[in-house]
Amino acid sequence: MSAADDLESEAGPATQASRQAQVPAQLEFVDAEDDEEVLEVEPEPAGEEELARHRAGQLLRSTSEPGRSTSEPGRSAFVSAHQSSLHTLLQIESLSRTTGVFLVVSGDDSGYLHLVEGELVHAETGRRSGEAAALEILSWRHGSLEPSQRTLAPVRTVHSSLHNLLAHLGADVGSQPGPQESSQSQVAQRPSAAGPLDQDAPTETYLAPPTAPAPAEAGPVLEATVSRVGSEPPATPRAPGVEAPPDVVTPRSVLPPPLPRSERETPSTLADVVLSAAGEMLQGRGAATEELAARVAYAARLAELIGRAIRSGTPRAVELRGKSTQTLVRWQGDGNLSASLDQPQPSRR
Amino acid sequence: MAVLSSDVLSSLKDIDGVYGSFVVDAAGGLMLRDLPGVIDNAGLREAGPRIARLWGAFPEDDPPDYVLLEFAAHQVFIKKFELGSLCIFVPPSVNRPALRMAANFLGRWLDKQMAAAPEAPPPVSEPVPEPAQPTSPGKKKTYIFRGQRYEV
Repeated sequence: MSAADDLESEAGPATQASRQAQVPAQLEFVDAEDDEEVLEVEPEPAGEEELARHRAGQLLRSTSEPGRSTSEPGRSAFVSAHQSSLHTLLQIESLSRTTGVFLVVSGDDSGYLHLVEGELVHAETGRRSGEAAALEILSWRHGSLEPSQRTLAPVRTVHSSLHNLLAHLGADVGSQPGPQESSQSQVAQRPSAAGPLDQDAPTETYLAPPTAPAPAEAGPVLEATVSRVGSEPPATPRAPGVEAPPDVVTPRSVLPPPLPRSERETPSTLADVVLSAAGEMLQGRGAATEELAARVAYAARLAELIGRAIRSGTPRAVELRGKSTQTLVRWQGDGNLSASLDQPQPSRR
Repeated sequence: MAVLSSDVLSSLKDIDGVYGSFVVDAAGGLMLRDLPGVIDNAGLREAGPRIARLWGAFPEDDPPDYVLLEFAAHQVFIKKFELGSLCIFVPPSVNRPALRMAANFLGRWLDKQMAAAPEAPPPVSEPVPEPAQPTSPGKKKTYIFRGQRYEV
């Protein structure tokens, strides 16, 4: 039984029926060669059937209908993606002004990305939150992305735009993935109508286990490395006898590790806190959050008084730049304060 | 004795967009100003001690460099130097690296000048309000009202 069959059987009849209704043709999954087609902006509106098939073949297009602004976890297929696809997916969600929480799983790592009107406002992993978590998630080379029922974060901890974060990572936005990345995509289908499964176990790995290629699939390299649902051949199968680039068939475990990110480009959040207007700490992560909260409350109060004295009103943000750390304080719309203690980032203005 | 003049602050206007600046000493006392009259000295004197205390919000093991206050339409870049604080009103689009460099230079210069001046610099004079009626003191005016003569 193939991975596709496994998934079909897991989904149950209701899910299968639902999927068949949405996807009359075979499901297509995205690999490196499909990326360009999938991410292309459609020149003109397609029919419902075509849209549905396209949506299923695309990586998570929960907001493909005009005017839709919120994600629909029950409708979107589970998608697996390599890094570039993940970036592109998020950009699509950003352009679609999606509001929702997305679970990203990469191996044993998992994290959530919170989008409001397409803006990345919060990110969290088991170890970090805020921009540091967003950068960590975006740096994952392989993984899966799916909508989550998790509650949107009440406060904003990511202030850089998605574009800036990707620029931080040196991602070539919109570029095609290299053969190394494409060959390592472990694509699997997860039944989406089975209900929200991720909420309490965000560390669950949804990647399909590596499966041995069936004899009939052993020829084209991509079929051997990418689990496909359905029997549709790849768009550009390699001719038999043509030697694939070595990195295409290299097992994931022996790939060179990703290049370390430059220290300048990876701000490291040491701690972050959220304070109420009364100075009560609502959230705190990292080291010495009590001290950070006290410093933030004091600085914020002084900044408010200074702003009042010089007739400038309430500040929107205060940056306290030291020789080795920087503290960024922001006034939230609900009156709360969010603050993070980071290693300094170079000024970009 | 060095004499500090507000002209020294005009060098900051080499940076595009700088609206103006002022300097407070380590205790927050207003020393110099180069700002439009819409910002009065009373406000700056009120803000000064708070600016001086702002440096206390830094971690003990991390010497402060600067503070940036972001308001809706402008920012106030506050650079700490040894003997005081230099506060610069800038637009959000200001060239930050250039501003930091200019503030560093000026801060070092102010440190030297203030260290060389044992006496307190002359207090910043308030902007002189326009007199409502220029009248010379001692000169009386004479009015005649209903036949009566009045001298004011």
